[in-house]
Amino acid sequence: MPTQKTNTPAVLLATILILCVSGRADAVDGQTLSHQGVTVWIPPTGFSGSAKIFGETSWQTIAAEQLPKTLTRDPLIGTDTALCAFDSGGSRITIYSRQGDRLVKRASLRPSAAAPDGQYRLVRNGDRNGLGVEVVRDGKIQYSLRMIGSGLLELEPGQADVLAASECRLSYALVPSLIGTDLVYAPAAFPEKERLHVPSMSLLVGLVEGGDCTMVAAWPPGGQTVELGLSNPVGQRHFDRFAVAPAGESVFLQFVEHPGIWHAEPLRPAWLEKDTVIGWKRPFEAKWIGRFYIESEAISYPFYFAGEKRKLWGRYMRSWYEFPVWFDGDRTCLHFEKKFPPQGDLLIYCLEKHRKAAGPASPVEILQEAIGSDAASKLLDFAGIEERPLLAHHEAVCAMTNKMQEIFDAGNEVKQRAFIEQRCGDVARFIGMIRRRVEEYGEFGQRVGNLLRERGQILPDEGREELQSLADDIEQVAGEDLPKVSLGEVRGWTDQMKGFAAEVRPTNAKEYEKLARQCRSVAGSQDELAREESIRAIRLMEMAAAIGVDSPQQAGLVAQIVADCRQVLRSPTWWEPRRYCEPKSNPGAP
Amino acid sequence: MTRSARIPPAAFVPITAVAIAALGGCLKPVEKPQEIPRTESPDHLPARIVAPHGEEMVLVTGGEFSMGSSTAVDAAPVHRVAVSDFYMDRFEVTQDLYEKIMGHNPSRRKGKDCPVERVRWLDAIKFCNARSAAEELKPCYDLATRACDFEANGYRLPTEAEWEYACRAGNGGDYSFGNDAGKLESNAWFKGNTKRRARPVGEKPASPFGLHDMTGNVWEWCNDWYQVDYYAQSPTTDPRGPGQGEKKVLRGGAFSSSAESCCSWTRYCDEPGFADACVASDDCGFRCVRKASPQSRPLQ
Repeated sequence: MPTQKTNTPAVLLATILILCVSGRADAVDGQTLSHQGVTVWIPPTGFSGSAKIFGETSWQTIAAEQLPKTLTRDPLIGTDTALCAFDSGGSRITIYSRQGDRLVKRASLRPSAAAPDGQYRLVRNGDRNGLGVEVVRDGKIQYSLRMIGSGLLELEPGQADVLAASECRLSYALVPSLIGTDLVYAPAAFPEKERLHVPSMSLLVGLVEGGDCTMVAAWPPGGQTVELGLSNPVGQRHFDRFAVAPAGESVFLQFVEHPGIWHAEPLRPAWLEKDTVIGWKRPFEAKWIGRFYIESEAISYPFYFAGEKRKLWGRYMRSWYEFPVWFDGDRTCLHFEKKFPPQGDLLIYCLEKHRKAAGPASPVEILQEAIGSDAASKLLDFAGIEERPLLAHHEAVCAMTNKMQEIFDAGNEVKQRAFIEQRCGDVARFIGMIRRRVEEYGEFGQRVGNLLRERGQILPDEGREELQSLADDIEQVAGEDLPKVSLGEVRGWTDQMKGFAAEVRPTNAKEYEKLARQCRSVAGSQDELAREESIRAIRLMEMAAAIGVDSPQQAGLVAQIVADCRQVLRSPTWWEPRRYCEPKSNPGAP
Repeated sequence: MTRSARIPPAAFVPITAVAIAALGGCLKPVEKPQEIPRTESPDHLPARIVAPHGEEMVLVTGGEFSMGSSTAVDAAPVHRVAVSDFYMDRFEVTQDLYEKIMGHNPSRRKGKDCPVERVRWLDAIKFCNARSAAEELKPCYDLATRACDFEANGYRLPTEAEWEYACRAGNGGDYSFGNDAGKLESNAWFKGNTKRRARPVGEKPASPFGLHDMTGNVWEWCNDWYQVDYYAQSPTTDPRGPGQGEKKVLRGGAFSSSAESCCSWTRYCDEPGFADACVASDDCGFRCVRKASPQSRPLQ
């Protein structure tokens, strides 16, 4: 009995303990795992969209060492900026942006291979940090979703041949190209279309309705095709669907949230010829872009905001003009003039931050993180953005001939003979370089013209003719509009100019002036031609992108044309549009 | 007689211009100067005068007109303006004439009978003075200050009001032939019918005032500074533009221009070229005007 008495409390205690444990197990049937900034939650029941899970402290913790681990319930995977909720055996994933306990639904993913009877396997994220969830059916990985601490998610296609995001409400979709121009797709430009096929250039940026979020999608180079779906044509249309046929490669996706991360400012005619300050302020330091339509050049161009109000000569547009977009402290300033009157919208966005600047991840950083810095640099072609090296002293023919004129006018030509001889040689060399540049455009026009004659039939008739005509124009202009003066003649002039420095004669200045004017006329024509041809190449790039949207085959042809445009537009001369061009005075001016 | 007394206040165009307008529709592009009958010759001015090099000027009889358009911010408001008589070059200044006077031809695309281009405002006023000097007329411009002496009998650039009055040629529409942009093709060189270059002057029919290529071919420099809201404060009689500015007015559109840019009321502008680089735009040229006086040389 005493034994019994002794045992009774123990049994009771054991019973209580068992009851407690089993009772607790009934209450705490959620599980969670945090690893390298990524957390997986496995709620006891389906996810309701509530942020309560973030405050849940009583769920069972899974150790990273237990991975891989098979799950029977729909999991969530997320960071402090993003959350992906699996649903229906992995046949759907809802993507949320997360700010603290606030969740904003941004898209639904539907990998094509997924079915409601899929199972989940929680895994480490391969060579990268973070965690992943594999969706498995019949022993095969249908697709995987992996996430790293920054919130970048990777969709590895597995058996999926299409990775589609819907309900994303993009006001604009951009296919960025740091060479030439970004291809910008606006639903309003395609009122009759339900879907657009756009060139696969490994990066797509969606400007999400509201101006406080961008969607960045990236993938390694390959045979992918990209499609944008348009919402029902009632009211304000959006790109509601974004789909990539991944060709076996991963697709990376991130929604970047920040107030004012992009902005569309309707340009008012009353702003003509006035400095105007708009209400939008840059929310963080970055290479902000202001893109608008330039009617005279028939292109939209992404101008990088300058650090101050400046004038520019001869690049982007003819002659002198006020640079159209700049920051004055925290004020965002615009100046539109007769050469580019205010019309349509000014689209403000950024693709890159300044080196080591704080702020949310930029599309370029996301691309770098997704496919690696080297591959991203090659794709973006940072080297091609750099100006073509022309002359070390950075003077064009105008400045060189002006300087020499001053020497002749002062009668100092013999004293400064070495300088004159060197500059005369440079004048001829410079004219030769720019002529070659114009010829490059001619060859490019011929290539694209031939390509369109061979394969252009897949494009819509109307657009194709226009595109063909533009490509032919580029070739013709280079052939016909170059000054009818041979480089040998130019060298003859510059040799004569050198000769005037051999001895002081009263006629030297006058005779030099005449020959210098001839050199300047040839140089000026060529410089302007280089500018005009580059604008035509940019126009071709934009036009092709707008025309070839009806099928993956069309988009493929467009991608080929765009690639050739990028090739010819790289390493621009001083008169051709260039990214990051801090406005400066005419390089040809004295 | 004072100017205001001579200008009919309500008339859109003077009788002379109407008479010329009636005949203008019959005019074909001409090879050599033709005389046009006049019903009125104010102060007995010759209807046309010809310079020693053979360039012809047409008398534009003064009058009152509605200047501007509510279509564009810088062309509004539409306002009544009176201009005095003046002579205007029948054609844009050709490369041939420019070279004869200045000794060189800056044009990008050479053609003796094509309008001179790649000239800035400063080049244009230098030409005006040189042309005046060649004919022993009093130059209008002080090249140091760039001020214009409107009383001098030499050549100068038209004021913006003179230019628009001459271009409209009595028509209140968008073009001297009305509002139908479809007629632009047969009346002017513009983006719709020429590629990349100006065409020889006078290939398109004359306007009802007997002027060629006022619409299209090359933009034409005017004397005035450009100011976006100038029309809100412009004097009503012989306005001469703001006292200062950064850009000078260009008018008429060019071979590179859209139909809208070729409208009689369209204003454009560019740097005058006081401190500039090698070359100017290849779609900018000009034509000259002269003060109308009984001493003007008659057509020979």
